[in-house]
Amino acid sequence: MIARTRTYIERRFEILIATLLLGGVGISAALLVAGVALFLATGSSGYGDVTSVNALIGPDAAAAYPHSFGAILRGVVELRSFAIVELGVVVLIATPVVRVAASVLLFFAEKDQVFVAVTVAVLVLLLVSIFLLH
Amino acid sequence: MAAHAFGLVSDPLPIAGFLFVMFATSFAAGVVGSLAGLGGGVFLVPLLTVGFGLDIHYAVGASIVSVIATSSGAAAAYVRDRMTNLRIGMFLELATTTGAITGALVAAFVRPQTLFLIFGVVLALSVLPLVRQIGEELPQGVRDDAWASRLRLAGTYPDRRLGPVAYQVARVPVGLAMMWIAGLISGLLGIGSGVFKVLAMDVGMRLPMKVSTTTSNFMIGVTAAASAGIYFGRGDVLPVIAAPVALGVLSGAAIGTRLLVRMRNTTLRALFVPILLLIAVEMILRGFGVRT
Repeated sequence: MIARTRTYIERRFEILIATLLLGGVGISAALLVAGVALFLATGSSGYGDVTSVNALIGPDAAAAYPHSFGAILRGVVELRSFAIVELGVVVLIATPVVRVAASVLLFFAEKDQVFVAVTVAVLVLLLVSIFLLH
Repeated sequence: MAAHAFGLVSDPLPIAGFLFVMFATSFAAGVVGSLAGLGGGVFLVPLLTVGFGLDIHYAVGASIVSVIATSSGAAAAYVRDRMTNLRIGMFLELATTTGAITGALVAAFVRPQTLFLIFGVVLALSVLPLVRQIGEELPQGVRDDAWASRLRLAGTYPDRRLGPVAYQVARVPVGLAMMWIAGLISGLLGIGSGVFKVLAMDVGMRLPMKVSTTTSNFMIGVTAAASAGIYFGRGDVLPVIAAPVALGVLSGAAIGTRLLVRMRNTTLRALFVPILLLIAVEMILRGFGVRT
């Protein structure tokens, strides 16, 4: 017995989601590799020279480089290695958010109002946590 | 395992060596994590803290980011394999994201020892139902409850040995409540909390094991993104740790995903029980200060 077969939109959507997820992860991985390679090549985080591992994982390690989106983008333009790594992290965090946004469109196309509400609520929760709660 | 190999010691490894060891460790965690449908963090946080002596807050920060990579990489493959139930996943994300935000906010006020203790207890608890239910690949006699009918959650998935398998969905409110707790644990400990997501669907809603594990992987990324944004803004995601860890887990998960579709559910479950128990004991000993 087949309880429920997939619609055409759903099949297309599965491919779209897989592409989105792989694309986001791929771009992120490329940025992480580029950032690490630049860091190893130059020996500089872009925010001061690095002499030991301890300086990078000590209690105040995070204070030395930016966490805001604007400062990270400026650092990337200036080819600072840690800024490139941080952009990779930002892209990774954004990937599931984009996936949820795409889901809203799927359920809108299917005229499934309950699931439009469900996915919009999840999207709002994500955006609030990323932009408001730190 | 040598404790504190790279902790704040007097004779640290060269930076390139540190990056490589972080990568290799995370690769192993990624393979095992994706086989178990756990997301990798369950093995990663103990390895980074107990194994290498990293500050648990940084370990959690790197882990939660890598968890997104694992989930997204594996989920893409599962979605194309048609094993994931998208509707169930998205509906339950309401509960996991709410829980994750709560967990990430609370984590800032919790002592490291307490985090170790909670981590160990979470692992130990997650092993018990696996032991009790070993051998059940396809739950029998499951009927849709009112929520499942209203939300049209039932589905079909292709099994390599059995062909297309149709299934229904029981006790959705129980699943929802368990998913909030799964999200809370994810946000608090920086793990995908796949064990609890799988439990919510497997024990709570009585879905087939393969649907539970793949849908869990699908949900983990969204759950982790909710708390990762909070950890990132707080400065707990260090580039020198997060980059090799994310890349390692990602490549490990890619390998694990290819192995999963060729293995039987029963084999999978039995494999992870002793591993999880060992890690649980180690973390609890840390929590009580028996190990430092």
